[in-house]
Amino acid sequence: MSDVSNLIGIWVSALLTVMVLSYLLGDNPLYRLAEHLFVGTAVGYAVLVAYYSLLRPRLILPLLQAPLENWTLVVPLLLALLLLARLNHSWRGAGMAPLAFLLGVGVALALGGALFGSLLPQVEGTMLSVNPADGGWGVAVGNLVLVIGTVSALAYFYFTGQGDTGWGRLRAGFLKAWRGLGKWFIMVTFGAIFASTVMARLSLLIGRLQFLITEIPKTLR
Amino acid sequence: MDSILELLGNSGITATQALMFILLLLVLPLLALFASQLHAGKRIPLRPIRAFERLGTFIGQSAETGQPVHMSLGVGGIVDPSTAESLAGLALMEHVATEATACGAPLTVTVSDPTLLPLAQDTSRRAWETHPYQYQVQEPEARMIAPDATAYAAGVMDILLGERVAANIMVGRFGPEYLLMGETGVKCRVPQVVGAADPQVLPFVHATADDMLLGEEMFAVGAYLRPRPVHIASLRVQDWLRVFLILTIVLGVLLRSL
Amino acid sequence: MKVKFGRSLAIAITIGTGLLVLANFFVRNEFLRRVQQTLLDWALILAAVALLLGAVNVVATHLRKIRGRRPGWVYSLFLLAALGTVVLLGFLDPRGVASPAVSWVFLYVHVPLQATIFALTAFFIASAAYRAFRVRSVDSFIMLVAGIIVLLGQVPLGQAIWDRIAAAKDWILAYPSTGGARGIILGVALGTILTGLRVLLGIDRPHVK
Repeated sequence: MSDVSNLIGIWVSALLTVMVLSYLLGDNPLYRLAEHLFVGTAVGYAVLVAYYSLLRPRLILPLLQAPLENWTLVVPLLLALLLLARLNHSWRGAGMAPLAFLLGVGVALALGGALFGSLLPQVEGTMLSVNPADGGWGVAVGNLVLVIGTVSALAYFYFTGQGDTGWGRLRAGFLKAWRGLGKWFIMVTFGAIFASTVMARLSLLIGRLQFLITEIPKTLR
Repeated sequence: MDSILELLGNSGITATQALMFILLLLVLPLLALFASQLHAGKRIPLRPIRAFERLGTFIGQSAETGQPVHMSLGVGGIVDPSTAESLAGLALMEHVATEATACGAPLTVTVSDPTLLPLAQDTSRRAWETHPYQYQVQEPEARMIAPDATAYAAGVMDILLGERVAANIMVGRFGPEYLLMGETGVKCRVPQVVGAADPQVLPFVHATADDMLLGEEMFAVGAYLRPRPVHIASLRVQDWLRVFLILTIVLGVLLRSL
Repeated sequence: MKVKFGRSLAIAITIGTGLLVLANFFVRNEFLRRVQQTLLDWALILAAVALLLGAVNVVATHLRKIRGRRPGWVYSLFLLAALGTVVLLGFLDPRGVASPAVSWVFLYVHVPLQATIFALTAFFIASAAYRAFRVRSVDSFIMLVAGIIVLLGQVPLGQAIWDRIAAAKDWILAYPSTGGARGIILGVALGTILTGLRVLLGIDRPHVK
């Protein structure tokens, strides 16, 4: 890219940056213009990526250049056509098959992820020693707090069952205490995550301001 | 035990994989058992969740004022691990769309991921078709804003700022862009009901939503709003698994410590 | 009859694909792995097609807005102009998305807009904090205390107030905060498992009419 186009580019992005930041003075036409331009470029860019990075190299070119070797691609081609048939309102039902396929993939990934990506590592990670002989009192107490926090926060979500019998009432009381404790741990988590995010977000803003302060003077030199 | 492990190893299955598989298999008979108990007339009471109770009020307000309800299904899709959250959003959408068409409240549903759009469109169409006088009421509008999460959030901000929304309901996958939408909703004094799963996002939901569906609660839509026995049975199974996980953790801690 | 067959077929497709993809999490098998990879590739292709449909939906929505002269229709004009320009620039150049013109728009229009709009959250977080940390109950008091310690633990001012505040911050993040987050994550995993299983068992069919 030429220097001139870079120069124009920097000024354009500076102008857009200021337009967005004008939102801080209140909702105004400049901000809304910038925001709509953003949504427009985002959709346009996604269309290009979908075509040039996925559809062309993975479906269209293989089918055109070597149809016999890539005959299995007929399946996604057919599903793609069925999905496109949705553009005609009376053919919306045809789109059920491709959606069913996508949903099958998605549900399996979510389920597998929940089992092996969340459940297993989180349970394993919580099986910690609370014996001071293993790592000193500090770690033991910390681990105990972590275990109680995990267990009570998990218990907080308990949905079903409130018995009327003596046993049921005892159970309900026990559960209520754990749920209350769980809520407190969740609140500690909220406070801690909130506070640790503040800094990260502030640095993003500082980054944008730095761009305005350092890049624009450079173009004037 | 060793011989079982060896057999598994030969077939390419590790012990943890077998364990998870057994866990998954255990769910099925439990689900069938609880569902049949419910069918036989047994009652399983559920703890109250305020967000579910208040939804009706917001939709009613929208019908009275004619101001639209906005519902966001988040930035997730149906072909990646966010699928479950997206489905939770869709389940709630089905309820909201049915209620909204029933009482004549205008509803706009927005999605970010294009794979979720057809399901949202079909859900809105289904809700509209079940209305006895469907040609006298408006079909809920389901539309995509942009696949980029920040662009999506900017588009939702635009709806909240520009369309005098009566209520903002957001259930699905949300990331750090959530704050843009949630805080704009607060600024516009729009009542908000939000359900999200990511612990990194939930503190901001807590700070901006009038009522929240915290984590697992968002998956309970079916049991609370369309009380089908199998959905209530699902919650019961979740509670049993919860107890099982807690016992496993406690046992593991004891074994490590002793 | 036709509809009924379509329904059953759709449910069968979901269950079949789902089980094939899920099997890979449980078994290490070369054939299954390749099947899964193929299915994921197809899903990617279909997601790209879904995106084209989504783009059509975006264009239609904004055209309606312009035609109906609904509030803010002028902005819709700009949105469509931006969208059209990017797509046109991409399709006019054989290099497509890698063409210099598209790269320029991406680098100097899209990226700064994205970064700056996202940076607005810095201000939003401040006003959200004011509300979140107002003490109304024991719960919000606990949240406030944890928040203040973690916040002050990150800045020099905090060190000046209490020299061990950084250690306190680390302790909160490592133990009680992690515990609470784990409880939430495990709960979500349980909800996800049951939601997924209901679809794979054909009980929930959000995609079937």
